[in-house]
Amino acid sequence: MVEVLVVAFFGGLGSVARSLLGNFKGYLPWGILAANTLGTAIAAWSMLTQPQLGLVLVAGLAGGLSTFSTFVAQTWQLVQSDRRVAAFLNVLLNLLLPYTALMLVGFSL
Amino acid sequence: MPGLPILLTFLGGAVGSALRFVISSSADDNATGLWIVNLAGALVLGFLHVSSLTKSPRTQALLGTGFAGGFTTVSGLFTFAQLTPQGSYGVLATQIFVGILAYWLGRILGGERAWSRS
Repeated sequence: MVEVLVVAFFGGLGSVARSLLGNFKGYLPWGILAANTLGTAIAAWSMLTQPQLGLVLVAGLAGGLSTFSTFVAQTWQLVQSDRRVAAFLNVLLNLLLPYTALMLVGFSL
Repeated sequence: MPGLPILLTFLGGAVGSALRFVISSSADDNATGLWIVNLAGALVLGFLHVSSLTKSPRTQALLGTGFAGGFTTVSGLFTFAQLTPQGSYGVLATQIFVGILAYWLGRILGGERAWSRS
């Protein structure tokens, strides 16, 4: 039960941080891209160096910060408004940037 | 009350994150847990974006940005793909495609016509 409450608290904090970042939008929804990249970096760093902080950082903070639902919603909305290149780039960058962040964390250790 | 949307996002995100943790802890394997939370979360968000029941900014903050946002995860997909023995990027790529369809299905369940322009 304590575990669930720890995840809930830090997941709530991550979600608030994401909602603030989410205000940054332009050609692409940059804020959510940043949240997903940062969340992946935090989760990877914790899993590789601080596994005992998994509840706080991986399931909680990184899980709350990163989001799949808003990412697919924004991609769908770009397709619907005939912004197909932006939709494609949004998917591509949400693959490339978190992957690169994860690799950089791995290589820097 | 200017801080209210933030508080609602915190509460929704806390409940969504806790539920994601419980589901992923009790799922048979990592991939199954990720499929459940990400597809269900995308479906819920599609519904919320359309249904007249859920259009208010406060409901969107609590259930959309908060719950559906905290419930679903991209960091989990990448750490699963790269840092777990059974992980695969195939699951990640497939989930993005199926996730967009799940979001669309959620919109239709919320009352939108399938081929309408938004």
